Amino acid sequence: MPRVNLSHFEAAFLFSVFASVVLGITTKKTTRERLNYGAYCFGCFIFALFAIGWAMKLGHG
Amino acid sequence: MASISRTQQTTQSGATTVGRSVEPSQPADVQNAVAPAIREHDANDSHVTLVKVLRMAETQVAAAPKQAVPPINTWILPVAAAWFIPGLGHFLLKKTGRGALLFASIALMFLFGLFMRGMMFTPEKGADYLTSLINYGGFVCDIASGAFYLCAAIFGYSQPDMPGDVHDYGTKFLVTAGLLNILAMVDVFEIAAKRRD
Repeated sequence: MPRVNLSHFEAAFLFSVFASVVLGITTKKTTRERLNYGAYCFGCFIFALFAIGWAMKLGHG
Repeated sequence: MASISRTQQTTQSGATTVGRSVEPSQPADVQNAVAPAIREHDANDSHVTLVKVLRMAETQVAAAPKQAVPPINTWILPVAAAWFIPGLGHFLLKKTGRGALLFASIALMFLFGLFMRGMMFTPEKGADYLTSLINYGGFVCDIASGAFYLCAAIFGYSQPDMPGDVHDYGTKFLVTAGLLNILAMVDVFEIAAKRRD
């Protein structure tokens, strides 16, 4: 079985993509709403990724 | 007859109340004579208001649609299929596009979890309550991936819990794949029960 070594960012990015797709499909009713909500979730994931990353960096000094 | 006016009064606590009062310009005996009638009128008024509110509430409760649980044979097969192979329930309900996307997302997440050597939880009692909760909860989430979990278990995938960010991400990917499949199963149930298109 292949073994992959992803960085933090790559792993979190993949996680965001897959989770956003499923959340968009399962929670909204029309295609447009699904696209919008999926993009919104993905944006929130990426924003949280950078925001928490910077907070941890600044918190460590 | 003394005129009655609706006034706004501010109480000591600062709350504003609306009530009826006799105009202060009236003589004291007139005020005393009219006060019981005002109190009775206010009591009747509030009683009428209360009855109206109760009737409105009854009407709204009666008008609210009750969602009956649909017969089990309408949704058990698609939901079971959705558990066994993510997206298959949507395929059975002729939602092929959504089914394909769900299958791809959940399968890729599970596969990346395996490729990162994530740990599969086992239902065992831990040293404390929280560890037991994590073990049992993680096991349920792993099982929710359906055939992916069964295949991994059958082919002997076993990874010890090792320190390291990649392994940790792998464990989270495996657990999240199951959680996302639970969302997909709920979606299948709602479609099969005609609660969604």
